[in-house]
Order: sequence, then C-alpha cells, then structure tokens
Amino acid sequence: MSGDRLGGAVIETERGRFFVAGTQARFVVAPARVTKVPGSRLGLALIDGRVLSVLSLGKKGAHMLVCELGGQLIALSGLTVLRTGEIGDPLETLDLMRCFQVAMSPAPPEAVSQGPHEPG
Amino acid sequence: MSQAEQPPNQAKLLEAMAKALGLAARQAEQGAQLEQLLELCSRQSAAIAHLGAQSRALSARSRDLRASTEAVRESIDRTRIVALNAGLEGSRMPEPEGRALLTVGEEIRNTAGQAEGALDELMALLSQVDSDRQALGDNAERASEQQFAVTESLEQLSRGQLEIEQQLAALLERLSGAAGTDPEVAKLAVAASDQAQGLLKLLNQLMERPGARDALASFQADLGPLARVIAEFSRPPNTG
Repeated sequence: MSGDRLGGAVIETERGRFFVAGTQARFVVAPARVTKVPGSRLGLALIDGRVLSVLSLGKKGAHMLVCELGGQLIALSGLTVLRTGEIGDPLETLDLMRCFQVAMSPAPPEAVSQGPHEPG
Repeated sequence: MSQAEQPPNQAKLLEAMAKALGLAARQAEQGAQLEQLLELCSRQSAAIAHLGAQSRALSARSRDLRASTEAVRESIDRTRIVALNAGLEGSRMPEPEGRALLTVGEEIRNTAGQAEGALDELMALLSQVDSDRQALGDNAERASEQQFAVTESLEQLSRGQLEIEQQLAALLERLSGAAGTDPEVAKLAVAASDQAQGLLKLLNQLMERPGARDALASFQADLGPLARVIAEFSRPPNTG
C-alpha cells in the first residue's frame, strides 16, 4: 500500500502489542492443537491442511498468525490479532527472525527479553 | 311433666344436652369450613407444583439459548478472522483493489465487534433471567414446603374435629339416655324455658304498674293460647 502507513497486523501478546509486517504476516487462523516436539521449543500443528512449525509467544490468545520466514511458513501462537491492514500507530515491530533463532537456541526462554514460550 | 316441674337434675341434663347440641352444630360448621380450606390447599399445592415444573422448563430453555449464543459467538469469531485476513490481503494488494478490500475488511470487523457487543448484552440478560428463574424456583420450593406443612396441620385439625364430633355425638347419646329425652326436644325445651322466664319477668314488672290489667286485656288474643299451652304442659303425663 502507499504512503508512510505500514501494511500488516497488530498483535497482542503477554509481553505487549507488536506490529508484524505484511511482508511476513500471511493469514490468521483460529487456535489449532499444537503438538510438542521433544527437545525443541517449537511445536507442530495442522493448519489449513499443512503441518507447520509453531512458535509460541505466550499461553493465551484468540488467534494464530501464520507468517513467512525465509520462504517457509511458520505459525505464531499465544497471541490475538487486533487489527490488520494499514497501521498508522507507532508500534514495536516483532523481530520474527530473532524469535525463531531464540526458539532454536538452547538458552532458556526466560533469559531472552523477546523470546518465545514453550509451545502449550 | 313440664320442664319447670322436672327435678333439678333433669333440668340440668336438658340444659347440658342443649349446650352439647349447640356445640355439635358449631363443630359441624367448622368441619365444613375445614373441608373447604383443605380443598383450597390442595388446589394451591397443584398450582405451586405447576410453577415448579414451569421453572424447570424455563431452565432447560435457558440452557438451549445459551448453547445457541455460543454458536453465534463462534460464527462471529470466524467472521472476524475473515475480516482480519481481508485486511492482510488488502495490505499486500495494489491500489485500488487493496483499498477496497481493506475497507470491506474493516467494515466486517466493526460489524463483528458490534455483534459481539450485542451478544455480550444478551448473555448478561440471560444470566439475569437465570438468576431470576433460580429465585423463582427456590420460592416455589419454599412455598411448596410451607403449603405441605399447612395442609398437614389442617388435616390434623380435621381429624381432631372429627374426633370431637364423634365424642359430642356419644355424649349426646349418653345425655339423651340419662334424661330420657330426644336431644332436639331438650334443645327446644331449654329454649322455651329461657323464653318463659323472660316472659314471666316482664309480666311481673307490668303487674306492678297501675292499669296493667286493662292493658293486658287487649293482648288476650295472644296470651289466651299461651295460657292454654302452659296448662296443657302442667297436666300430669298420661301414664296410659
């Protein structure tokens, strides 16, 4: 979209509100059942007929947001999507890549300020 | 033998019989009233039981309604997700299609929000109705318990009433046997005796006044038959 307004989604997590860019946010779904993967902070869920990795941002939320990261789809859980489209409010952008890296690292999630939660 | 000439015991027996007869009549009247009260209680119990059944039916309908509202809430949630996805698609699409999709998505999201607000109000009302229904059911249950207690008391009273009537009937029978007189005759005799005493008192007062004889002469037509009846009663009984 045009102008200095950003296209994307505003999400609410336990750690506050964040902006997810429209270049990453693909679509919103209702919360799906997440299966834990032993030895990983990521989970797995069947979404829209596909098995996707799930990155948990919290324990509670009304939605899951499916994002594209490095050409792969990944679902974010533990969030509620408040708005989509052109977002004019200045909000912190969710660093999806960093969240993913934290989820893949062996460090405990509590030690990272914007890290993911264990999948619920 | 007239009542005046009967021995004092006989007169007392007759008086007791008359009183017992009066009591029996009052008891019978109260018995009839008790029967009416019991009938009323029975109808009221049925009405309260019906109220309780209606309250339970209302509770079942309330549960159905709640289940329906949950289905509506799920639909609203799905609609909201559709609107959010329309917003994401719109933000990726070029003008003017993207703008149109954003507008539609925003409108749907607002409508879904209004629907959810209305649904919340409906749920709050439903909770109030549930609360009122619960209070109604509790009141009906309490009323039913009280009604049961009242009915039980009335039935006890009715049984007591019946016993008193039976005892009075037995007493009357014994009095009748002792006095050798029918109870109805005893009642009339006592009433006649009371009237006679009153008449005697009035005549005595009248006789003390001057000119009383002349005045009484005009009532000869009424007093003549009375004197004859008294004379008739004064004759010794025909022993055959």
